[in-house]
Amino acid sequence: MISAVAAQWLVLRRRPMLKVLLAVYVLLMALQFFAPIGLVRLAPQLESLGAGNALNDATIAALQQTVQLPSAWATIFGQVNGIGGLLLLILAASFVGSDYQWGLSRGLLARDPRRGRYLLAKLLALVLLAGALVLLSLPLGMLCAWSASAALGLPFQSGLAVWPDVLRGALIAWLGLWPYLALATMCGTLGRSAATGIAATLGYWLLEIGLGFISVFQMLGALGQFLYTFSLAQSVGAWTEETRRAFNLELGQTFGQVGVVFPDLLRATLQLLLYTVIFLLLAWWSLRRRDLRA
Amino acid sequence: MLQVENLTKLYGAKAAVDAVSFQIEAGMIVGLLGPNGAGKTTTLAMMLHLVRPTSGRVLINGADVWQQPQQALRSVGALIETPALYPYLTGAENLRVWALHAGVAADPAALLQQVGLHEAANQRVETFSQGMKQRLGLAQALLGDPQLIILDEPTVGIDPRGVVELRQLLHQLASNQRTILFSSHQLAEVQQICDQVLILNQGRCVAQGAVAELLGSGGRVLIRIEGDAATLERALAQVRAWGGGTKARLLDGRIDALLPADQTAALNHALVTGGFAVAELYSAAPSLEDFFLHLTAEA
Repeated sequence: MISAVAAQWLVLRRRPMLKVLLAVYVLLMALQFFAPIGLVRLAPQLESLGAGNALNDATIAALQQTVQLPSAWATIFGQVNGIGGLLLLILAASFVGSDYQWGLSRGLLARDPRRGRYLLAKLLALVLLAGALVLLSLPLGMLCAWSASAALGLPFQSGLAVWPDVLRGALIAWLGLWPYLALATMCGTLGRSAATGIAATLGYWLLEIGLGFISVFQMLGALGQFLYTFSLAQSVGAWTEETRRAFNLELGQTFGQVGVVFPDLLRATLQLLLYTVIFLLLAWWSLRRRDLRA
Repeated sequence: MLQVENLTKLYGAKAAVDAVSFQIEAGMIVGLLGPNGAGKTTTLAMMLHLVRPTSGRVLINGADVWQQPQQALRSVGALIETPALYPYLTGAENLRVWALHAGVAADPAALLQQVGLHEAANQRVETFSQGMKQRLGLAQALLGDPQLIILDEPTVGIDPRGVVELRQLLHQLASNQRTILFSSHQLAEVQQICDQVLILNQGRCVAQGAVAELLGSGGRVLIRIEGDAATLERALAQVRAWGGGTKARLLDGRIDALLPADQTAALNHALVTGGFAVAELYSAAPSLEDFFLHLTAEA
């Protein structure tokens, strides 16, 4: 199994799309930290232009909190599960789907016919990559946070004093990516091409985001809101909100949102396990049952 | 070594492969022939656990490919249709991926040398020509020194010098007791390389045996009949009906027939007494191509 994962890891890490998506990720991480600088600096000018108190002191303080360590750790992990997760989904669906498209799954499985092993090796390579993304995000996020804090004239905080919380947050962020990787693996397998896999994965992701958006504005109704807590997004959200809470940056406190409802952690965990198992079983069933033709 | 029993693949009501059976002994080079859509690739894919047969079975060294796939395919290397390669990896890296996946020890440099690609070992596959990709696909099939090598159209895109090298390589492998089954449209090539051939047509196995045996079973006769097209058609029908199962077709206004060598005079007599004006009748040496075209034209 280790050699099969090593094979997939070699294929994954040399993929040109990985470099492109990584560059986008670094750019968006930087933007997440440097955009608030502009907003905070713009606030006095907006006021002088007669726009009233567009950004009040509380909002400015909240923005500063998102870029200053240690609370900025929550921003970093939010990026991992948000933009990082989205980019990983695209990469994963393409990684699985293009093997069909290029006839590679046919060639590889003619050499070693264990289809479950092949699928698991692909998933584990993606899980390793997700771990690497989390690890990369730590120094990258710290660098961005220190730079942004300095630009805003905030006192320097290394953010390392809370390392147990950082480790826990990193672990949660990593584990939170697993079900989405299983989803992308399933979509790539069922879709049998990179484009179909990416489209199906993003379709699901956008559906959840859309539901989340209207959920924030309490437009789902009580029953809809309750049902939404069974979604993959809210199951992962229950855990990432724990991370935010650890760094005093939970959603409700920062943005005054009252419409977001998460399942309790035990239910969220069970739901995540269930989603992951269902996605993987569907992928395995599809790969096992279908003929591998050109 | 390889035993195929009543292998059948149905797509709806249509049989892509229809009760095909054959057996290949160790150390042989066997050519799998057939026109496009004859079922060659589907047959090979069923042997490699890629396409599930509707019925029948494939045994490799006694192990059923669909019951014990890992055991059956442990010593099989294959190149199916166009070579499947990661375009952004180098030739050597592609071989490394394959070796890691299959869990076999491999020396990519030696393999690339064997197929004449050593100079392009560190070149990305996306820059390879079709012939280079085909050679790399062949190197993939040879990974782990398999006992049975299955090649689907291995000469596609390879230049004449490469085809000669491939022929030498296949002979060298066979002399080391490797068994080779390969499909091809290059009939002259198959005739030169193979000990045996299998001919598929419309999903069925219509001929199998040693090339010399198949060709020796009949002499080739070219017959020119005087008269119009209708006369020629009637004469063709008589030749086909004559002697039971004589293979014949029209070629450049003549009848091109395969029949037992000692029957030429009798056929001439039958045509003349049948009222046909035989202007010319002469023997020609049969080739595998003639045999193949006769066989697949009639079905």
